Amino acid sequence: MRAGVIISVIGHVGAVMMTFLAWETAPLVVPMQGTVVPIEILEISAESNVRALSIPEPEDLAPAAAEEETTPEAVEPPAPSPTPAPRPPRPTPQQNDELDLASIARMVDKQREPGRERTNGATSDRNQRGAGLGTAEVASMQDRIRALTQAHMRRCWRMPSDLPDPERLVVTVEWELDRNGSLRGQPRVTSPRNYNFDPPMRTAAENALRAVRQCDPYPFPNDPIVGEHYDLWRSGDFTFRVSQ
Amino acid sequence: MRLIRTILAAISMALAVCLAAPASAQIHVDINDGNLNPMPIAVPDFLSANPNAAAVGRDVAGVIRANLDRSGLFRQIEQGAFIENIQDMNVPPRFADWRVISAQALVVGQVSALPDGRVRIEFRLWDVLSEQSLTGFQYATTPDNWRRIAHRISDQIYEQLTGERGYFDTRIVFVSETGPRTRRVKRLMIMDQDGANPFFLTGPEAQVLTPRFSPSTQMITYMSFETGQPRVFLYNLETNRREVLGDFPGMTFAPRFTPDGSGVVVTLDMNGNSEIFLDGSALARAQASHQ
Repeated sequence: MRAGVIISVIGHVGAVMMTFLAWETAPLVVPMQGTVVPIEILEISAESNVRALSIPEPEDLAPAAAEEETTPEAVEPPAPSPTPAPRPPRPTPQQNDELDLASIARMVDKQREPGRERTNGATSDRNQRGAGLGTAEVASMQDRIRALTQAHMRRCWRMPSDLPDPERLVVTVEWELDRNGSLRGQPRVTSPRNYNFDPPMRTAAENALRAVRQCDPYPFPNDPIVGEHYDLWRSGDFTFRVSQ
Repeated sequence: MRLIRTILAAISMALAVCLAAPASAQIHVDINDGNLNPMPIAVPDFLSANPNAAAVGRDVAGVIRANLDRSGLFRQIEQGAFIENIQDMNVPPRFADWRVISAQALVVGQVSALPDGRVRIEFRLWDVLSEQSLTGFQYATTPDNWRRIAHRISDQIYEQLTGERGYFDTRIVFVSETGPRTRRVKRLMIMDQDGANPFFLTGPEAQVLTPRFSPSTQMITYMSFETGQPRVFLYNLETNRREVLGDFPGMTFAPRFTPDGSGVVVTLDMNGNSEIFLDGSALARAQASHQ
């Protein structure tokens, strides 16, 4: 019984020691490929990363800095020796950190280079992002578009509050926008259908149309969040209703 | 069986396309908050070919501007801010020039002299934002009737842009009081709604009270001491004739037209009792005798 306990303890300690050994040996293998593996991961994630939307457009300094960094840093790491030597002349830990940071920065700068994907392939880029948006993101962006619209429309829409029965004067106007936020074609009243023979309703409809035209152009393209999501504000409708 | 399955598949695909497309393409926004600011409107002086007509054109445009301003629903844009100098009312204006100065509506008109001595006053109302003509009329009248035409044009503009009937081509009847407090003279007067063209309807001997306009005809009812007793009178503005409404032993006062204008309700004081009395026949007789 006692021997069993001792054996068990020894076994457990041995198992724990083996895990330590494994923890120590793992970094010895990974840093060997560390110069390659993170780069590949970054390339994949940068192409499909939605957060890149909020990054401002590349500045002029970025490519120059990238070029300066690439020449020394790319040469500095030793050639990967295929020999399975246990101790290759690996860089010190500090050097290794610098190398990783430099390679990450290089990859980001490559993504920022003008003339690359972001500016060149706007259409394909947009499609990728649109496909990448989740339902929650779309909903929050639509909420933002609504908030922008309501704030923008406040100065343009003259409410028909002084007309008889303003609560019934609900008008829906359909519209389409160009990429620069200006109206494409003429907005049209979709509801109610026949308002010409109802003078207050006709006035409310004309007020709504006038508001949509007066608020042209719309602020969506300049918004940092929804600006590039043209699909979300390309077309839609406003329902004008006097609040109670 | 296979045919039915194919048809069902086609229908479901069509439904999926129909339901999915609008949902992804459109955003719906409820607008509940706006403003009640007056609408900016530009009314340049009406065009004309000769100096006399030019004076009428300036006056007509001035009256229209004042009417719309006074309504509180419109804000005039100063003529000094105008970019385009309109030369021909039959040519569409340069809407961009009017949008720059924030005009939402533009009134263009002209006055021309006719061979028979009358003048023709015409106007057109433009929606600057939609670049469409909203309405336009022309009137031929004697030159001294220009103010009335200006009021009617104001009514047209007001009705087109607000959806409610204009009130500019209306008149106000009121009691003019003059003299010291102990010898007050109260006379019946009438004027345009903007205060123009005031004139007396009764002389100084008639102490006039409580005048009321008919809702449907050019008739006024009022109480006067003209005959020594308080009596209710009817005044026809088209013929400038008046007559006593009824002949009762007591006094009659506080007249009102019925809502449809077909009768007059008066208060009749007999034997110490005040009774409301409706007289439709006297009104009909007065109207018939004056026609």
